[in-house]
Amino acid sequence: MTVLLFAIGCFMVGCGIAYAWWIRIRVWLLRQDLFVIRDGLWYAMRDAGKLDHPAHRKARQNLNVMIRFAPRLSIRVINEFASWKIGDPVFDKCEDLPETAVAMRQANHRYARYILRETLSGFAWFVAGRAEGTNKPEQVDEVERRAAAAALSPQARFAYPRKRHGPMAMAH
Amino acid sequence: MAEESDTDNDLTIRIVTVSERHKTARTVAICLTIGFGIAVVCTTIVRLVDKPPWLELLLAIIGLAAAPSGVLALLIRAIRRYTKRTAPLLAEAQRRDDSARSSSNLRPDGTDKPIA
Repeated sequence: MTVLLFAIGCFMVGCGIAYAWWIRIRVWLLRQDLFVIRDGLWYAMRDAGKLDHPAHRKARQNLNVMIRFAPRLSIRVINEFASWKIGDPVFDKCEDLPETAVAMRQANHRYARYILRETLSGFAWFVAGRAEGTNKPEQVDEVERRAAAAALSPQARFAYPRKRHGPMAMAH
Repeated sequence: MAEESDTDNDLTIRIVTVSERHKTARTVAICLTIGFGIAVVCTTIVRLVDKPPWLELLLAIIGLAAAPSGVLALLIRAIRRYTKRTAPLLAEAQRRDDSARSSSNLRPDGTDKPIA
C-alpha cells in the first residue's frame, strides 16, 4: 500500500510538471502548423499569380488572427462565445478560391484538434460528449466552427497589442 | 453605435474573464496536483524509512521537477532561436514578391507581444 502511494505520488508530480510544460509547447506546435499552412498557401498563390486576390488576403488575415489568438483559446472560451448568439464572422471570401478554402479547412481542423485532443478540459468535454452519444464528426465540426468563430470575432481583439490596432480596432 | 461598442466591450471583457479564469483554474489544478504528489511521496518515504535521508530526498524531488523542465526549457529556447533566425529571412523573401503581405504580429522569435 505504501509503495502504491509512493508510485501515485510520483505519478502525480510527473503528470503535473509534464502538463505544465505541455500547455506551453502545444501552442508552439499549433503555431508552427498554422505557419506551414499559411506559407504553403502563400507559395501556391504566388505560383498561381493570385497573391492580391481578396480570398487570399482574407484567408491570410484569418490565419494570422488564429495564430495570435491561440494561447487564449479553450473549450470554455468557445462555449462562452457560442452562448452569445451574435452570429458567425464572414468566411465567404475565404471560400472563393479552392486553395484558400482548403487552407482554411486545414487550419480549422488543426484548431479543433488543439482544443479537443491537446488540452485536458477539451478532451474531457469531447469524451463527455461521446458518452452522451453525440456523433463524433458532428461534434468536431461544431468545435471547428465555434473555435474559428471565436478567434475571428471582433471581441477577440484583446489578443492584439493596443498600440498597433487601437483599443476599438477589429481583430480582423 | 455607442451601444454596439459598449456591447462589444462587454463581450470582450467577458471573453477575457473566461480566458483568464480558465488559465487560473488550470494553474491552481497543476499546482495542487504537484503539491499533493510531493506530499504523498514525502509521507510514504517517511513511512518506509525510519530516518529519511532528507538531503537525497530533497535533491530527488527537485531533480524530478528540474531535469525535464531544464530539457524542455532548452528545447523551447532552441525553437525560439531558430524562429528568430529564419522568420525574418522568410518574411523578407516573401515581401519581395508581395509588399502587402500581412504578418501574424508576433515577435521575431515567435513569442507574443505584450498587450498594452
